[in-house]
Amino acid sequence: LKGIGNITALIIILVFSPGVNAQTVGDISSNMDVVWITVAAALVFFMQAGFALLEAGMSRSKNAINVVMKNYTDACVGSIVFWLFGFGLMFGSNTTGLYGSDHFLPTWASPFDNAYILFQTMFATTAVTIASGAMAERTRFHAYLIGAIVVTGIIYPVFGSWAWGSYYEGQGWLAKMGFIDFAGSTVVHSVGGWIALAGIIVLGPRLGRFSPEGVARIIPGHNLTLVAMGGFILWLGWFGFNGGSTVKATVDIGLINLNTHLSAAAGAVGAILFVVIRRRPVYVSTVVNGSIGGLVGITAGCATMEPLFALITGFVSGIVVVISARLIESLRLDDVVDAVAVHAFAGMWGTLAAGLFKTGDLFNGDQVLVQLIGILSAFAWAFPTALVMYWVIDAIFGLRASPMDEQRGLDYSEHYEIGYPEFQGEILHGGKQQI
Amino acid sequence: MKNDSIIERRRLIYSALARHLKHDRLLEALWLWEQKYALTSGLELRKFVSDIVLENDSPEFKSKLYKSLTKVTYFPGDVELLPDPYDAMHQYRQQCNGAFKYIAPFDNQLSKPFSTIVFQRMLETLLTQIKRENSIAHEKLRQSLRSAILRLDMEANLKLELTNWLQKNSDEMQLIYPEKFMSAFINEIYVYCCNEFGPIKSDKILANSIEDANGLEEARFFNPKRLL
Repeated sequence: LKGIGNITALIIILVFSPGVNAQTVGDISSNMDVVWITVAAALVFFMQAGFALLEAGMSRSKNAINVVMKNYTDACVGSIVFWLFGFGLMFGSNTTGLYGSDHFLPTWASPFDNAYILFQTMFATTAVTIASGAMAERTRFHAYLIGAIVVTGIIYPVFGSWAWGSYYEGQGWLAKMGFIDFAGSTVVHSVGGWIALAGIIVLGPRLGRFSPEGVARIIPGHNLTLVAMGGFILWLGWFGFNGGSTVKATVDIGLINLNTHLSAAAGAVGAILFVVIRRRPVYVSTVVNGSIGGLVGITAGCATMEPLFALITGFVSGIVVVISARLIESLRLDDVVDAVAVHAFAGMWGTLAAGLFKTGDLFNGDQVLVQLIGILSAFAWAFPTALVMYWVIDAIFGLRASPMDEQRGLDYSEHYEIGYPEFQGEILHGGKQQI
Repeated sequence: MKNDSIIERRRLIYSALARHLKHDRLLEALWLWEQKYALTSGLELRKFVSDIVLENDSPEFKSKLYKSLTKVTYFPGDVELLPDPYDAMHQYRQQCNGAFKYIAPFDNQLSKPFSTIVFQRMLETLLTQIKRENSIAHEKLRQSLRSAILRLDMEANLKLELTNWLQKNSDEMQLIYPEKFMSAFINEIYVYCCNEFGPIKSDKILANSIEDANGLEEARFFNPKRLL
């Protein structure tokens, strides 16, 4: 405490003493910006742990290690690919409005730029990890990682350049139109959700997920405590995700994170009320997904709407998640964690809400139209390209695990490990030699 | 020995031992190999030799057997293969009615391989449970398995025995099935169960069949989990 007091006193002296000039104040402000963005990046990185817990908890015990491995490794591979290639494509000089064309392998950047690259890298790894939960329990590990490389290297940055580019010169075509997506309801979450949708279409459902008559069967996750813990961690990380998107240590962070929190809470409440009214049981996964839907929904407009509208945005997001999850299921698509409902559909609604509830410009039809163009262009770009990508991966490497591997569980068949040896027993396959 | 075919491996073992063991003892040794060692690694050769030597056999004789088996295991290309002794083995087993003279500890167990006993028990338990769940699904499964057998890549006599067993569900299986095939066959049943009853119930059905097979004495020599 004494140390913190000393630092505070030093800052006060530096800022208010007569000898301190504007240059010094500016330096402190820049330093604070870098510190805040770096801390926010760490919070966004922590969301990877949230995704891993949530997705592993919603999967069967025989696939838990595989889910965690996918989350862990797509963050690693995605970070490298985004730094090498994705950042330049997304934020490099964008004279055409379609893609960035420089700042690949960004080296010798300024301290602020380094922090910004780190922060954006965390966003890219968030976008790529969304698909892993949807595609859980039947995707081959190496094939999934190849997909993660393409997503962080091409699919995500290209759309990002339209909405957020450029950091250096020029502007993306959506940004020019005035598209509002403050922290990425569409850029990160809907794009990730559409990629997940393409993935589950190419993969097909898990063995027995639907009866021959098309009736959906519930395949419960093995650890709902992990699901709830994952939800909490994602919620915490989102304060960095939205709050950090200011890319400055400003006073706006208070409103942004208040909106974020209210929307998440309202998302959970919206989902609960909706299922209660429909006289259905309230599952833990529904509540957690409702709150994450609220977080996804508010991500676009968290900086440009008042708290009351953030609450409405979140509440509707929770309902959107429940309805769209049912829709996906009725189409015989098997999304293990309802990632498409949570990220793609709630992201769409949130992006629309950002246009509807913009402070000082409520229900502006022109803005809503721009938002719709942004939503549709995200789908039109991300979904078909991901579909082609997964088809090609499937044809060349094989995306879907074999029925035998699904029976044994991907922990064993993909990683030769068992997540819960006390229950699942010893590994008896593989490594055997025939005399 | 990289060749996966049970016939090829049986011929190699036969060729290695034929120079050292007399006819009846040789056939008994081959039965022992089939039921206990055919599906295990080459590193168990020493155990196999210990099982087939008799009390009055000299250490030199034991060493010769081991060397001969090692040679066929690691340099199969250098061995002049004798014909498959399968028919002779069966003929001998029928003649002596399973009561072998030389390999005493296994007298009563040599009638069929452990793996086959375990496999058959697992199949019986799986089919019984499926019948209990839904008799129509059970009948559909039998039909589907018969066509699955035709698709699987394995020797004709194995296909025939398994098809007969499925049709009658009474005769006992006698032949030794490659482990890969047994696993694939059980997986066919699992996939069918998943479609009919869902994955949760299917996992339970499979777990019950393992538990049941674990109760067999033979499961000590061939762990049923190897077939999952």
